[in-house]
Amino acid sequence: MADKRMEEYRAYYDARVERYANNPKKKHSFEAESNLRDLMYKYDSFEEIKDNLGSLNIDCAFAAWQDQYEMESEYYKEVDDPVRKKCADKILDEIEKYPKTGLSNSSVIDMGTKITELTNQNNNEIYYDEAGGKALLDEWNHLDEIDVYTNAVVPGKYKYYMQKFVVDIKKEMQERNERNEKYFKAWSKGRRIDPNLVRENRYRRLMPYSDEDIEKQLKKYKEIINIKG
Amino acid sequence: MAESIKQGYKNILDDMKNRNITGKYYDEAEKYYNRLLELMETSPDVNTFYAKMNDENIAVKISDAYSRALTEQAESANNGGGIYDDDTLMKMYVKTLHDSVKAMRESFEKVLKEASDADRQRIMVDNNPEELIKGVEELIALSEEPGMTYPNFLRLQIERGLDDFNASSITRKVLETQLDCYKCTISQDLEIKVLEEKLEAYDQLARMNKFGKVDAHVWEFVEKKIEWKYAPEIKKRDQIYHIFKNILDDLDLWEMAHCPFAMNVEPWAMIFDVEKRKQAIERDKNIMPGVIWEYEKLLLHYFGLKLKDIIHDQSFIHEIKAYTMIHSQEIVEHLLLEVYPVCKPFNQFPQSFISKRTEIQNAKREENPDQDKPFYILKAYYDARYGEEYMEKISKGMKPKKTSAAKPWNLEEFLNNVEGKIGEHNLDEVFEDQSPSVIDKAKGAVDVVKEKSRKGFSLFKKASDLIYQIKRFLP
Repeated sequence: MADKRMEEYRAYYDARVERYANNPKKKHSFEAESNLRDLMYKYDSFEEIKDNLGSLNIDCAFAAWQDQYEMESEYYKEVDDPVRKKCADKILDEIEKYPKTGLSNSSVIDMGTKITELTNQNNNEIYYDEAGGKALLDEWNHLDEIDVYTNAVVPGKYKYYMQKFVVDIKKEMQERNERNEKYFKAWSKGRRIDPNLVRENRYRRLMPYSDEDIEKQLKKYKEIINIKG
Repeated sequence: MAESIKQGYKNILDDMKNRNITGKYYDEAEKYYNRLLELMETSPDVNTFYAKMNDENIAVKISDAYSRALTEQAESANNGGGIYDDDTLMKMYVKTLHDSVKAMRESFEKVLKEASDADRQRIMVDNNPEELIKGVEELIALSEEPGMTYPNFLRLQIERGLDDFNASSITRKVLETQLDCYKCTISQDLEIKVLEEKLEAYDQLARMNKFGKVDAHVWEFVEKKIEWKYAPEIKKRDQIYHIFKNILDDLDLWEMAHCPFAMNVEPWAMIFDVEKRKQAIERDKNIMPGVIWEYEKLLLHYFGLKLKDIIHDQSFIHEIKAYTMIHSQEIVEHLLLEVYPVCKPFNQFPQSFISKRTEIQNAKREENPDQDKPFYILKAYYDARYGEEYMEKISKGMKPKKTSAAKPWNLEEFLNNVEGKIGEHNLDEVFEDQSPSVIDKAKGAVDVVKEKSRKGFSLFKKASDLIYQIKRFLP
């Protein structure tokens, strides 16, 4: 016969299961928590529960990770972001390597450490991807300024000023790019920032311009910062 | 920043010492901490330091060793029968809650202190932790209810949706508060729409849960998806208004450059050298029409819009409604209806406009008189929510000043005054440089010399004069 404390703990483990009920995105957590809850009802003493716990509590941690990274992989597939999806998929592959039962506390630490390592590596990939993909959008207004000051009809005596203004804008763009490249050099293992990434859907969709205008400005930008290809 | 990271990991080592942890995991943590110190010494800059820390997974390895050490210690305590009782677990948990409230408030105050004036208001709206803190304080209050036991405390957290505040959890209240604040402070329609859609999505998910709760991890991706959906529309809106605003501000600049007060107003007043300031004003008088013309071409090419369409632009309308438009209604009407039609390369600027603009400037009617309203709207919102003087406390007593004598904006009246009346430039028009060309001036110089030589000047003087005259007109 369970005492009051046991009843309270059973009610707590019931709540743990019920919070994941009817949620297809938490199916692994629901299953793992259900197994743990069933253990609480199988025995009337905490000693027996402790002796028969096995790795049921560890399974809940792995189940939570599996749910989280399946959601992440699905989301990044929906929004067409293969760079971020890669990390979620690698983590899911690692989770698959573990047996479904018999896990220990050190398994949790191992997996937690692995997740952090993979996430850190992926962050580097994300920085590289974003630095290139957003470069043209970040510089678009300056590229427009170059066109404006190059083409503006002004009295002859001010043409030199307009040309100098354009040279100054280009110089600032080059300096910004150099600073970014210098910052990035430490992380990118020799790769240059790649503004061609703007053509990838995840960045292209943020550009409210025609393909023709994008190609024109991209070509101009690459010439300014001296990138070939 | 690197120092604070170093201190963070030193704290880990110190904690291990305080817990009398020795052996392989302590040695491991110490080894990687020493490597961290070595990298700090040898890295040429902070960025390289972080990159190397990341490459070698130093932070992960120290944390890993620490976690294993704590787990090993806890397991041996468990095996020795040293397991924590419910009361101790409850006390430890509640202490964490108190610490988290303190940390959230300190972090918010630090961010506000370091923020620029422009960012402070946005941070106060978007990052105010008070609603989250309220949730945590509810948890603390729950733990103090008479007869509360640890398992009941844990259960009630789940049932009341208070259990994962540490995971940056969202509650309906947090979303409601944000939406409420956005509406009170007159945010843009699209931003409000995003929040409304988030609230609807939240309610849909909550209906599927027995406790009306939305899982934090599930929410993360639902929220991201909504933001992803609207990002292109918001970007397009902002890019369109960037050009509209450039044209309006440049029209203002072009007019001011012709006025006697130009020397004393920005941007020219920022040029300390008086001669250079005069040159800049003269230059802007001459180049602005050409610059504005090119921006108009871009607006048409990219978005099929002309300046007259500004009056229907959502960002333009928003600036007026939210009191963030810097110009007064009188000035904007004058710029659109009167200044814009005459703004063409090489056009003479009408003297009547100079008089008109100078009169407006002298009477202090050029700026929107309600630019201080956003501060007071936010103040009323926060005072009602968090008590009197909350705004003063977090804005360090700074208040905007009211300086304009202009009439407040009346949007309906404005639209009535300008709709259908803003001219259109023919952007295919070709302009010829009306100012004398170098060749013309040089020709003129030759004519002068010929004339003078007819009157008996020497050949040498003739050549000198010609060279002098030509040099005068070179750019």
